[in-house]
Formats: sequence, structure tokens, C-alpha cells
Amino acid sequence: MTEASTYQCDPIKDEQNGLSPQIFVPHRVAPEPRSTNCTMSENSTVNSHPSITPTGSPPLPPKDEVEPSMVTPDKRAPTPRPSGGSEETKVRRDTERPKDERRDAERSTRDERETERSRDERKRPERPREERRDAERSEEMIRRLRKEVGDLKVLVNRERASVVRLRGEGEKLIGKCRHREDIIARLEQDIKEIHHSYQGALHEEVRRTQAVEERLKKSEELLATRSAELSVAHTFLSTTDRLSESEVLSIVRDLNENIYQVAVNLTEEWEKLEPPEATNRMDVDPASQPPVPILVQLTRNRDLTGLTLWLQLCLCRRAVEMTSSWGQHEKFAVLDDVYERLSTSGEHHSVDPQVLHLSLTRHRGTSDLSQMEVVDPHLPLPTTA
Amino acid sequence: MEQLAGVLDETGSFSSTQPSLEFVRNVGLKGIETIIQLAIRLEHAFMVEVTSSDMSLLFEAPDTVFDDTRMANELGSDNAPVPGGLKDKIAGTMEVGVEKRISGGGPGKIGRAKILLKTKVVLEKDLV
Repeated sequence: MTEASTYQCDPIKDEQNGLSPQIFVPHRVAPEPRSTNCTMSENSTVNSHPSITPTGSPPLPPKDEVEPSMVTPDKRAPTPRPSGGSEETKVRRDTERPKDERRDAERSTRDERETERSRDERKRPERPREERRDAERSEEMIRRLRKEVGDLKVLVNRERASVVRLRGEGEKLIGKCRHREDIIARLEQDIKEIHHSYQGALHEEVRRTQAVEERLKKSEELLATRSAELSVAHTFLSTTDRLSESEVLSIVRDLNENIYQVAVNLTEEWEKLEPPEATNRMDVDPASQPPVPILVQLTRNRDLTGLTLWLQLCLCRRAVEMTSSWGQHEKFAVLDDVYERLSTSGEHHSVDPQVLHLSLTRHRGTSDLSQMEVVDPHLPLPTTA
Repeated sequence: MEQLAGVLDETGSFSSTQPSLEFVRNVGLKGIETIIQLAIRLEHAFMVEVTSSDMSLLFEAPDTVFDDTRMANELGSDNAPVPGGLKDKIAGTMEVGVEKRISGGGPGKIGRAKILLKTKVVLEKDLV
């Protein structure tokens, strides 16, 4: 047992027992677990304090002169030991804790006092059993309290770490919030500027729209006026003929046929009449009369061909006059001039429809046969004075 | 109708213009009305129905020089030249013709004319 006893330092266990982590409490590792936690052997030269004994292990009765509960492993170093365990413990202690010499010295001093006190107590008679029990209970409570204190310290440390971490996170969140508040402020400022510019643009657009609508209204009115004028002029500007050339020629042939028929009928009926008496103009000496056209001469000589031809000529001229609008009237002479200008300038579309209508339907005829002249379509028309 | 009565009055068959006018009215009223209706029909055709060109009737007055591009000799005599080098003159128009004029198509351009139907005339030399 003594040979197998070694001391190990368990800082976690010490921390749980409420001791400082720098204080390493050596304890011996038992080869056979007598309990769930490490306990000091009763034969061990180095006894740990009962207060650091794990809960559940029964307190050891003070068999030796030194009460284990009052002695720490450091104070056990001067105790003579049959084997070299104390030296190893000392060496290990020296090697493991060279840095805490001052604390060790203080502890040594305190342990020496306790050792002296325990010697004094050993010299006294044994306590009564009840007192021992009370002491054990007290020690048990102390151990429990220490353990609870240790747990509480661990919790406190954890809570402190949590608080520190939460503070950091809170500061980070605060920073983020401030950053976002700055962004929001900038965005609000941008929104105000955009809104202001948008309002200006909107007013400008409304003004433009009103101007455009006004122009559109005027344009629509002008378009309506022009459309009305165009619809009136469309009749005279159409290039689509509703009557073909063959149809026109057919009507003209009918006209000529009727003219010939009327002339022939008149001649035949005239031929049936009784010839005139000696007062006939035909008896007049032609040499004494001024020259007359040949048709007149033939008619006066009762030539049927001449009479028929003269009647045809009169009917043809009358028909030609009727197909014209103003040709035989002097007051329409100005229209001939207008028509001539239109024909040479091609400005039909810029002339009043009424004038264009008359110009397009004019005929250059005369009412008097003696004044009729040949019109050459290849020659320019005579101008009206 | 007054013109026709005047022509008949030249024959000496009537004592005054009134009997000749009555004669024309009795004999040729219906035919004259038909001629007037056809003339009005042609006036409407030239004025309204034909707008792509300017169409008109052709009529040649007496003593006009014969032009075979526009006229046709009704009696169909040969085209032998008149003695003395004179040109043929027409005695009168028996049937009207039709002329079609198309605008020049632009400012300063003279339109061209096309004879759709020649005027039938009688030459003086054919009546002598």
C-alpha cells in the first residue's frame, strides 16, 4: 500500500473543491477503488484534509497522532517515512510547483501551527464520541458547502463569460444598429431629394402635357376643317372616271344620229311644201348679191343636200354649245384664262373647287357661226384681253 | 329651234319666220328634244363623270382648212388637191367629234390632246 501510493495532482477536482487552481492537492491513487472518489489511505503518511475528501466517503477516525483533516500534503513533507516516498513527493512538489514558493511558505507556516495545535490536542484526552460526531458532521457540511461554493464559482465564471460574450454581441449589435441608422438617415435624405426632384419634374411634365394637349386640340380643329374642305374637293380631284371613253363615244354617235335624223326629216317635210311664187329669193340675180357661203347658196337654190347639211350644222353647233358651260359667253372669258393657266401650271389642287369645276368643263365655242374658228390643240390658246 | 327656222326661211318657202318656226316645231320637236337630252347627258359626263381628262365635242366652222388629223370627209371624195394650189375648205360639219386633253403632269408642261372621234365635214369642192 505504501509502495503503491503515489500522489497525483488533479486541478479540476481541486477547483471543484473550492480551492485555487494553482493549489494542487496531492492524493494517492488507490489500486482498488474503495469508493467512487479518491480518498486518502489511513496508513498514508500524507493525509489530506477531510474537507477535500469527496462527498460520500466516511471521515476517517484519527488513529495517528496527526489528525488528517488538519494536515495538508505539504506539511507532511517533514514527516519521516519508511520509504523514499517523502523524498519523491518533495521532489515532485518542487518540480511541479516551483513558482509558488511564497505561497508554499505561508502554507508551511500555517501547517506548522496547525501541527502544533494538533499535538496539543493529541496530548489532551480523547474527545467524547458525540463531539467527534458533531465535528464530523460539521466537516461534512463544510465539504458540501465548499463544493457548492466551487460549483457556484464555476457557474459565476460561466455567467461572467456569458455576460462578456453577450456584452460583445450587444456592442456589435449596437454598432450594426448605428450603422443601419446612418444608412436609413442617408436613404431618407436621398428620398427627400428624389421626391423634390420628382415633384419638379412632375410639374414640368404636367405643363408640357397641357401645352401638347392644347396643340393637339388646335390640330384636331384644323384637321376637321381641312377634312371638310377635302371632302368637298374630293369630287373634283378624283382621277377615277365613272364613264368610259366608249360610253362617251356611244352617246356622241347617238347624238350625231339624231341630228342627222332631224335634219333629214325637216328636209323631207320641207320638200313636200309648195314651191314659192315669183317672189322667191332664188330668182334674184346672184351677181347682184354679195357673196354668201356655199350652204346659203345651195339652200336658196333649193338644194336638198345643202339644206340638210345646213340644218345639221346648226344642230351640231347647238349641241356643242349645250355641252359647254360658258364658252359662248363673254363674261366667262376670264375662265378660259384661268383654265389655261391651270393646264400649264398643274396647280389644280390649289384652286377653288368652283373655279376648277367650271374650268374643267369649259368649251371654247362661240355663239356665232361666223366667229367660230379652228382650234388647234397643239397651239397655245389665245389670251383674253 | 329659231336657228332652224331661219335656215328654212332662207329657202323662201315661208312668208315670215313664224310659219317656219311652226313648221320646225311640228316636224322636228321630238327629235330636237332628244338631241337636247343627249347634249345635257354629254355635258354631265364631261363635267362630273370624266375627271381624269378634259373631254369636249369638236365642231368645225365653215371655211376652215381641212385637217385630216381632226376631220373626216363625209362625202368621201378623193383627196386631189384643189386647182390653184389652194387648200380644201370645209362647207360645214355634219357630225361632231370628241377630243380628250390630258394635263401636262407638272408646272409649265402643256397637256397633250387626243382625238377620240373625228369630226365629219363636207368640203366645199364636193358641193360645187
